[in-house]
Amino acid sequence: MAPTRSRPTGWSADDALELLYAAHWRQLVRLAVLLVRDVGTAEEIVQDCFIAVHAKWNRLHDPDKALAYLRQSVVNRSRSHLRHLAVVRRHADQERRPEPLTGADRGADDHARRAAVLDALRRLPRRQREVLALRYYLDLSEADIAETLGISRGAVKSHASRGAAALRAELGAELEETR
Amino acid sequence: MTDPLDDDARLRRLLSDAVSDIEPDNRLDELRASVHPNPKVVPMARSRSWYAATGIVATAAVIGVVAYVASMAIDKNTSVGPATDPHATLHSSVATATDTAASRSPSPSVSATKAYAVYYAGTDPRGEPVLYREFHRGPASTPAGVLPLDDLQATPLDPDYTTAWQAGWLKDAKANPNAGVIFVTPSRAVPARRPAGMTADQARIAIQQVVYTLQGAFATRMPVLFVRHGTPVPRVLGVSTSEPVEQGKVLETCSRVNISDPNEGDAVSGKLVVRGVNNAFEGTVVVYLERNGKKYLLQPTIGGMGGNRLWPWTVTLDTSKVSPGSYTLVARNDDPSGRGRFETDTRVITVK
Repeated sequence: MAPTRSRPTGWSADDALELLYAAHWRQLVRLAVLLVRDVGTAEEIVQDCFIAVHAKWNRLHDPDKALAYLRQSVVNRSRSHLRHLAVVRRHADQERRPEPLTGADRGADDHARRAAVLDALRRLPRRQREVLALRYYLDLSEADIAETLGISRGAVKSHASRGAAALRAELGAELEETR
Repeated sequence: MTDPLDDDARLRRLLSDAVSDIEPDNRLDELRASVHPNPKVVPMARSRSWYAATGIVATAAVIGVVAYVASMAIDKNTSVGPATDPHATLHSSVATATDTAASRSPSPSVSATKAYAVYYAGTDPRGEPVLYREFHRGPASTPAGVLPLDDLQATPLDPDYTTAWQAGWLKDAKANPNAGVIFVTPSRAVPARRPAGMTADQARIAIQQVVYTLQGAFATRMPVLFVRHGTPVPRVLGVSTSEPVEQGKVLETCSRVNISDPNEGDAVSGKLVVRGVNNAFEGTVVVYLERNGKKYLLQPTIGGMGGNRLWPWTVTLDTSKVSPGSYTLVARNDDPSGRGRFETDTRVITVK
């Protein structure tokens, strides 16, 4: 039997915005920070995603998937932002990769550890970064990651495996701290 | 060699930690202004926010006994009891304290009540806090979540269990599939910091009490978000609650053996059907009555082993073979280590 499509009466775009904001604003901004590194940019991206959901609310086929839509939107907009940033930097001839932290800095305090993790993520290929953020931060299943990114489950496995290996190589000291 | 599971857990901790200190600005007002740029448009009233909107999900409240038992399968990968639990309509309860096997067939009065699960804290053989499940029964007309939330903040039937939640600490609980969470409102009396004398593990289990109980009540695995006036409460009992709290893994959170039926204090006679769940070596659980250090009617059975879940078991004890009186009903997992660290759950019952 086909699943019943739910569109609860009275569940307006405004209600959706308020509820989704209360439940997921912080988590989605944090997800975006893992993807784009900068907090202010992350807030802008997620805010735009909420506005987009509000605007499209009546056209969403399945409002129960609003959160999935939001997640997908955050990933896509983060990706667009990074592409734009790369273009700007190339034109300005300013593209610089984040400087790796020195051993002395690394693990010196919580701030250094967190910065090291975000920098290491930033250096990963885009797909690997996205898969790791969805897998290890949001704890999504392979199937959900595949749907969010529009790739196969096999590709999710492959990106996760390579990304995790790269992170382990870069963040050996930080990983030891979490033992 | 690195344990891949352990490695995964460490990567998970590392990534969560990397953004744990990020507290984004509150942009709700900006959002409201963005979606309603015309000031003549009635702005979204904050007061109706999540609570009013969640009222529309009252359909979740329409869960009868059978639907409720389906809620026991609350984990997409794991479950505490099966969705097709055979004792769907036969849970013991305060109201059926004198139930016997014969009298436990569904009766017209059962249709007016519903069973629901409440999770309390107890300890495992190592003294670590774990959750135990108790079944209670209440009027079927009561909206889902109300009775479990009330009972969560009341004394459990079994004196071996405790609850960290004082009466009035937790108010409205609403499930909202659209938001993807269950909302629960802690009162201002709930400590943000871990109270003196409470360990970090006990605090985690206290939060999981709420998660497991509400997920069971609403028949969903959606995470639980602690919200006050439309805003997430950042810490409860010293545990970070700024994001929706997911269900903890069953075997790291729940007792590995749990009696579902009968309940503490039940009076029984004749053939007593004992039901429960476990996860043990070869699935073996031994069920018996105990009085004055002597064991009676000892009967082993198989629940299940492996997987991150608990498996159902059922045994029937013929209580007509023992003298009337008070007994401790024991369900004990097998312990192949020989160290005598038996995982157990007990109920004090009266044989008539």
